[in-house]
Amino acid sequence: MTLHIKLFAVAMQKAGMTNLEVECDLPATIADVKQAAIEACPSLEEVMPHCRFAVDDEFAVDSTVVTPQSHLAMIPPVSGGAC
Amino acid sequence: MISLTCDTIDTSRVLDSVQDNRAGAIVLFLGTTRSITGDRGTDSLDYECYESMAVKQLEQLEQKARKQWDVIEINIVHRLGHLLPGETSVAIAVSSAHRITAFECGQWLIDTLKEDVPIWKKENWSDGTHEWVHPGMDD
Repeated sequence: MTLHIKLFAVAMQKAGMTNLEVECDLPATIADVKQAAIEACPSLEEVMPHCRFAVDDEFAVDSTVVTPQSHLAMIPPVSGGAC
Repeated sequence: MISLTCDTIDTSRVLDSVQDNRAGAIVLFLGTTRSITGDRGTDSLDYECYESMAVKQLEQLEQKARKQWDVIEINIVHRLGHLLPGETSVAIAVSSAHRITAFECGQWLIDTLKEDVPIWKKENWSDGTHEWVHPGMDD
């Protein structure tokens, strides 16, 4: 299936795009999506370990199952800053 | 209540929005944009967000805070877009019957917001370079 991943901040910068299209076999998990994203866009590999993924506006884990209807986003560490 | 805005945050309105006769304390936190970080100067900052998720996460923050503390009112406003040094990037106001509650809740809200709400800032340094700020992720 084709999945679309929204990219933000440094992930968007590294990929040079705001939406990444990847192909995954069903059933797929976030771990599969991460691997597919790196294959589709190798420049994301170095930032991937620092990023979380969101499915339908909620943080997901590697074992979270995705469907063709899932809204996916790669979430780099948020603006944070020292206390 | 929560909101995202590309306009200047009216901090007086944020403060007024949580006032209530039952309140014995109001805490207002303002995050403001620095012109200096370490030894580097900042000309401006750009904030971007994943809007649908940011709204959902902010709403959940308010709900969790209301479960944990006996607060009267909460208002969280986050600015987006292009900001100059000295502007307010985030405002959080909390009212409660007693001050300890408003202080604790306000601190938790800003600390958790900065971990879990998908809003990012880009430093436009005065040396002409640009850099997304991602804690824990040094290139």
